[in-house]
Amino acid sequence: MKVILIDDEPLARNILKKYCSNLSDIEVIGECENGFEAVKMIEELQPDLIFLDVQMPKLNGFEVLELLANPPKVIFTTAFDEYAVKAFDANALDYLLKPFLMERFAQAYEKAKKVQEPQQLENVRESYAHPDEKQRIVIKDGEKITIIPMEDLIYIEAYDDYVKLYTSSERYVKKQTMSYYEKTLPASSFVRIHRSSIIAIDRIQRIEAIENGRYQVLLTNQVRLPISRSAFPELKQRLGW
Amino acid sequence: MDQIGVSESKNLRTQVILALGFGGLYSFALFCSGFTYQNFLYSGFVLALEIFIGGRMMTTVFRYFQPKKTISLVPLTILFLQTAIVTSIFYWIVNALPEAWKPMIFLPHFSTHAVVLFFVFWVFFYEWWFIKNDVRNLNDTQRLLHLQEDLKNAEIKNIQQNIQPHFLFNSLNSISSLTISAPEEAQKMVVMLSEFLRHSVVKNQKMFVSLKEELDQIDRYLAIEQIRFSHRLSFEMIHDDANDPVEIPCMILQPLIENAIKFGLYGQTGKAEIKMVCERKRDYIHFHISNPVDESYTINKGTGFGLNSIRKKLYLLFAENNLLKTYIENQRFHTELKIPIQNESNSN
Repeated sequence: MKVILIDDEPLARNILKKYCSNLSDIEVIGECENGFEAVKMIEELQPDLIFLDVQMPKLNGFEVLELLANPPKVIFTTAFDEYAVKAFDANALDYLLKPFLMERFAQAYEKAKKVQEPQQLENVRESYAHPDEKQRIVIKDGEKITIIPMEDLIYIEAYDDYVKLYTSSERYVKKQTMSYYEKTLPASSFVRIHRSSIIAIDRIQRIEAIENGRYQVLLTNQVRLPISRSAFPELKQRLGW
Repeated sequence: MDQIGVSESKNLRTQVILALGFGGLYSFALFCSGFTYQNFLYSGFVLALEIFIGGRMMTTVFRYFQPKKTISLVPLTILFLQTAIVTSIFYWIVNALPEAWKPMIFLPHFSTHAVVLFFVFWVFFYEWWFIKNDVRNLNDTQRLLHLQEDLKNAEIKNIQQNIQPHFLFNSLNSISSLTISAPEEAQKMVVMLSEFLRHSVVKNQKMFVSLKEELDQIDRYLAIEQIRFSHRLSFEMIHDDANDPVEIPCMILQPLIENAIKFGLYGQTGKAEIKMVCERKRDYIHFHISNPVDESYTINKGTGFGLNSIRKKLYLLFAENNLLKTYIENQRFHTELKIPIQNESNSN
């Protein structure tokens, strides 16, 4: 099995390498020390399995996976991240808590080998609710990776299987579902006003009545979006009417 | 400012009550002694007025001059002079009244009157002095209470904060790795980590430590990080040994260094050059910490909480608001901390 080791600490990669060398059917084809390198290398080398640290500079482990079109099998490693552990447990995924012994490593490897269908990584990402993280959205456009801070986001619009994310200066397209954002965006600052749109509450300039008791919202970037009848009470409540 | 206002209005209210009380008491005494209705009522009212005016005078005087003790020559002299002035004016006014009015007001002997008034003013003075000091004590008590509560909470979090679990487990993982590749290094790191933990545990029980102790602990912390990230981390510290004995509060400086590591090392991928300058300027110790920061990726919301809790703690300890300042300049995050020098520990 071809594997890539992803961890920002050389010593942590060293011990993984050492453990890998103990097993005959593992070939380490690459190492990287941050999320950007990882995304690039995984797409280039197409490994069967990656050992992925959760806490890393620039992109965390979950964000790395989010940017991959066809993620390989994953064994997560983490020193201490109760939120990540919760997410793994919730999705019955194996993970390694550092430090770990060879036996534990081999066990996780055997388990990963047996996995046939792609792991349910989508759900892990959703259930990873770290209060400090997820304050941003990562976008990959070809080689380029962009990180949008949450406070720059004005609204999100559904676009077939994709979503369009709007900031004051840019528009990004990403393969993702609306319900994913509805679940993961901080509920205190975002609200879904329609089947096809989620807006940042503090970007609302005003709410305008249109015919038949229907309403639309005017955002600070001068975009107008319709508010569905079913979403209106929720919006009113959030605005404290 | 508010507090002075509060004590001022409280003072006025108490003085009115006391003046009316004394006036009423005086009236009652005269009534019992068989004086006529008009006599005791007017006399009481005049005395109340006299006491009230004297009280206001006194408050005005003590607003500009605040004695530290209740019984000392200066406040006693002031009270004495005041009694003399008020009594004289009172007698002068009563004497100047038309002959027809005079019988309405009972006038005791000048000296008796003066002694009574002096006693009343002294009561006033005590009352004023207590309220004033009470307010000050209350503030200190409240601040102390907050601080104690904060420390209690911090104590629980301290081990976690002081020894971040993330740091601890990653260090253990590094040791585990070193036992295979470089056993001697592993041994060194175990010792270093133990020293660090030992000092963290001891430190939890104190509120202040010497600067030297705090800097030594930071050295240990950074030495461990150095092993984990030897290829990326460099640290430079400028510090004058003469400041070693200065006492600084626990859990202020180290969290700031950890913050610098978090953003300068964990948060970006380039070289992490962390600098700290520590110098004495008059009655303060100044710290200037800087670390590289990835401006486009750093969201300062996360740091906000940590910095705010340090700000709060500084305020609780020193009642000063501008001790911590942070800003981004030339792709570096700068933290400036000032610690008022309270007392320098005698032992080195």
